[in-house]
Amino acid sequence: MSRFASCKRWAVLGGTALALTLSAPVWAKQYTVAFVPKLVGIPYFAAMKKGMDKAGKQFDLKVIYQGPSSADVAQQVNIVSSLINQGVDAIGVAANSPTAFGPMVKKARAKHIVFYSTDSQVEAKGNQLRVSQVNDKALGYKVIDVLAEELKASKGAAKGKIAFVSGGSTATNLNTWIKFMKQRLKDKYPNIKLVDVQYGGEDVTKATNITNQLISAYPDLDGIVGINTTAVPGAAQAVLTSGKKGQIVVTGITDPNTIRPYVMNGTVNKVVLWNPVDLGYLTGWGVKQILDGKQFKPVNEVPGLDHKIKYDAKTKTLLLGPPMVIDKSNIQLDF
Amino acid sequence: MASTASTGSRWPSWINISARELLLIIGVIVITAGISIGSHGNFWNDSNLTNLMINTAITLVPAIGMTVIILTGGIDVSVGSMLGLVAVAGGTAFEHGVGLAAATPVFLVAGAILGFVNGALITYGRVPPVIATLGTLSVYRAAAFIFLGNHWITMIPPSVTQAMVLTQPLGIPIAVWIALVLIALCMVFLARLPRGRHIFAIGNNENAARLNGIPVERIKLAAYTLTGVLVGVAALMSLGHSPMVQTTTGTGFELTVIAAVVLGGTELTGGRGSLLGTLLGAILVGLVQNGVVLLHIQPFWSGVVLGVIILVSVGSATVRRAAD
Amino acid sequence: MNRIDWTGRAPVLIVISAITLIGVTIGAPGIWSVDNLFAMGVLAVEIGIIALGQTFVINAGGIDLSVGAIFALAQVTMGLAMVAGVPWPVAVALGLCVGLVCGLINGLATVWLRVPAIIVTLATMFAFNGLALVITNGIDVSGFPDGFYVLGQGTIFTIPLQIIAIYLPLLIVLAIVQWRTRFGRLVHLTGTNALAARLTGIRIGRVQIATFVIAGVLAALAGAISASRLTTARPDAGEVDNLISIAIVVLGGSSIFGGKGSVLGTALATLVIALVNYGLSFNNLNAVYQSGLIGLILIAAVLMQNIMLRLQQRRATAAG
Repeated sequence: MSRFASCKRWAVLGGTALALTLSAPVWAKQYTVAFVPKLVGIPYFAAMKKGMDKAGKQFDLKVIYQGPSSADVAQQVNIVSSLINQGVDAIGVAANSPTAFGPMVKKARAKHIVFYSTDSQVEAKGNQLRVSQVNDKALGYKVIDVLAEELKASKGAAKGKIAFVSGGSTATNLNTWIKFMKQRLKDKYPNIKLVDVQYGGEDVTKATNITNQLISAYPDLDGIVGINTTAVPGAAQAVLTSGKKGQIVVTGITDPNTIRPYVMNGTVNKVVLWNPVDLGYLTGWGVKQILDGKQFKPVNEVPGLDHKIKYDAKTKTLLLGPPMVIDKSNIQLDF
Repeated sequence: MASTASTGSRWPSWINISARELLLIIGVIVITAGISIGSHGNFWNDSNLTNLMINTAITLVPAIGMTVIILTGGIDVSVGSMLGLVAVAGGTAFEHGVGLAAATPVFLVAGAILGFVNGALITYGRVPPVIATLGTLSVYRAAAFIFLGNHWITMIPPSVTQAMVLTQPLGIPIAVWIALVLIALCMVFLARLPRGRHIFAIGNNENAARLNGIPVERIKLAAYTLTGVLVGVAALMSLGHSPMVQTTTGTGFELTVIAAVVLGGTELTGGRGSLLGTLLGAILVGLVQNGVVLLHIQPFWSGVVLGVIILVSVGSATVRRAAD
Repeated sequence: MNRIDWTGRAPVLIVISAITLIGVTIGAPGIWSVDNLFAMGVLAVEIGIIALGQTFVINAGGIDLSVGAIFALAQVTMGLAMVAGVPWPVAVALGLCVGLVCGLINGLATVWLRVPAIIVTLATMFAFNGLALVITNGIDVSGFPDGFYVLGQGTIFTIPLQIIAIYLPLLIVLAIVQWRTRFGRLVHLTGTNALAARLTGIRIGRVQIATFVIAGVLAALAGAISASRLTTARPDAGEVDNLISIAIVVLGGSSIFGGKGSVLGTALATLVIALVNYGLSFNNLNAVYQSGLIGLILIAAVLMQNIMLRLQQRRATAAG
């Protein structure tokens, strides 16, 4: 009797184990999520990848990170095309051009692949999720407010001549921020005059040269706003070598690692950014929700993030949060 | 052309000024005048002149080597990637706390190795120069990506900027002094030493040069290696100018360097050309890139202007030759 | 004359493609599918068409560094025209005319000014690129009529239109032009020995100009396909295509000094490059490894051929 019972126990155990093994793919399917950044070999997107990897560990996602070596949308489309044929579960891009992905989004959706964009959005209708680092308007306004504050601190009043140094002239998100910055200047700081907008690409040497020329072209320049991660250090270097440190305010949008030397030596006091690691993490979480067929609420609790995340159902946009000011006190952040 | 190896002339050729060089000098004067009027004199700001000089020096130094290579009938389209990879090597040394003096050899040696690889492929591997350096252009860039990964080198010591850009004896930055000394040395070498004349001979007729006992392979190998070393020097200057290394550092730089040499009148078929022309060519390229912002126009125009200037300058040489 | 140089680079290419094929198959067996084949083909068509034009230029003893710039200038011209309301076939024709004019400028400057093609096209590369940026203010152009999208997104029997209705017919026509027409022979004669060709009464200038025009028009055609596929015309497109097209032509067996080469070899090399690019991408290896590997392949192919030649010579002298 006892022998029979033991046999039975073993059979049940074995059967359960077998059933579990067979059903494992059903209840623990690991999704493969691909992310195509604007370009690889740059710290900003590496930080986003760090966040996505963190989300991958937390929510059991396999993350593929693959991108072009220069900010070229044709190369991005080629990569997305191969990812679609690999049959991954979700594909997302930080788009070099908002309009170039239309056909790819259709193709992906036809194969039941989730398509999302993050950091730099895709216009296409079929795009299921946009993860936005900041409200574009809030960011543009914040940068100009910081600039005005700095001008006030160094010149006594929020006035003077300023210039913008941007990255690629085709980069849609940079152009949107510029638009809102101009709007803020017009509405709130009529005494700050924008004299020029120039483009230096994703190249710090070009940004340095352009700023040098701006400083010469407008000898009474009071401030420079860098719009991307290479423009701010380039501008700071030009201000430093032309001996205008303290006379020309440099601020803009960049990450702490890139700008650290200039904050430490006092050429730059404050810059504005968001946390790209959190942005990557939020992207991973958002994609997981869609893959699991869950709906977003207007305000979401995201495990692992210390603040609540807003979702706009009309534009299908998850918003990371308000922009963050980086100065000497938090310059040691590493992302 | 007075600027070619003047066999028989008692005067070294670098003292003569050819019609082409005269034209370039006029071009430099006209453009300078145009920019200084258009910019209401802002062109003459100290900071602008420094910037212009540094940029010209960074183009000029590799252009010296490029001139020698082109004189032998070759070309090197890999200098942009070389500059990037050398900057990665040198920047990594800086990151590990190596000082300027100790890091300088890293730049020079790294450049020499990369230039030597180019030269060896071309001379011993018999790969045509365009093909060999087209190949290394992408290989060196890939290597820079692999070494650097997703990281940019930002911790370049301020002493590099101090030494290269901010120290200005007689109002001229050290980087520019280095460029001037290097070009003067190479001018004397090309004009006065037998080896210099051999370089012209190789470009004019490689087989004849070989039959005359000139060590063609060794000289070519030396030319490519020298260019590598000079790219190393330029990389160091460039880090003084903008102290950050990206994976894309130097992309497209080869075109600027070749444009300077071509503008200077050195002919890509080899055997004809001058370093004085290259100096003027580098200044012209620098002026064109410098002028656009000063004239309050978008930098997109600099490409158009540069293209037209190259065509006009090269074309006028042909017209003049036809008239002779 | 061989159609494809079987003693030269073709065997090397075949060995390289075999190694790549085995490698990518081990890495990702899923690559053997029709979808992947078409995706790879679509990727190859644009650079492939540019390389066909480059083949004629190089075979005639020239080189064209401006094809990538023409690719960009032509597509933004079309794009701006369409956005302004011009019907798309007219806009495409206009873009092809831009390519033709650019090619004509290259050709005339090379022949009349007697300046090496590499210098002329270096200059026009700067100029055409600059023009593309100037006329668009450096911003992408999009919002085209639906009909236009057929060029880069249409299919015929599920096969992408640009492969079956553009690239393959073009390849056949150009192969016939190269091997069955007087013009084709003149191109090779001009490239082999310009002086001798001139002495035999060939107007080599016209031949050279014609090759640049072909390259210009084909680059513009590739630009149209690209703008249609991406629904966007980009002023900064094609920057890498100048050098890659030259690499493809040389890999395909053309001599960089002119006189030797075939469009079929170029087509084969295009396929190899596309295979390497797509195969590595399918294995999720980053783009920079792809271009690095292509650089290595380019050098290795020429080196191996040189070594084989030298071995042959040694054997010949030993036998003799």
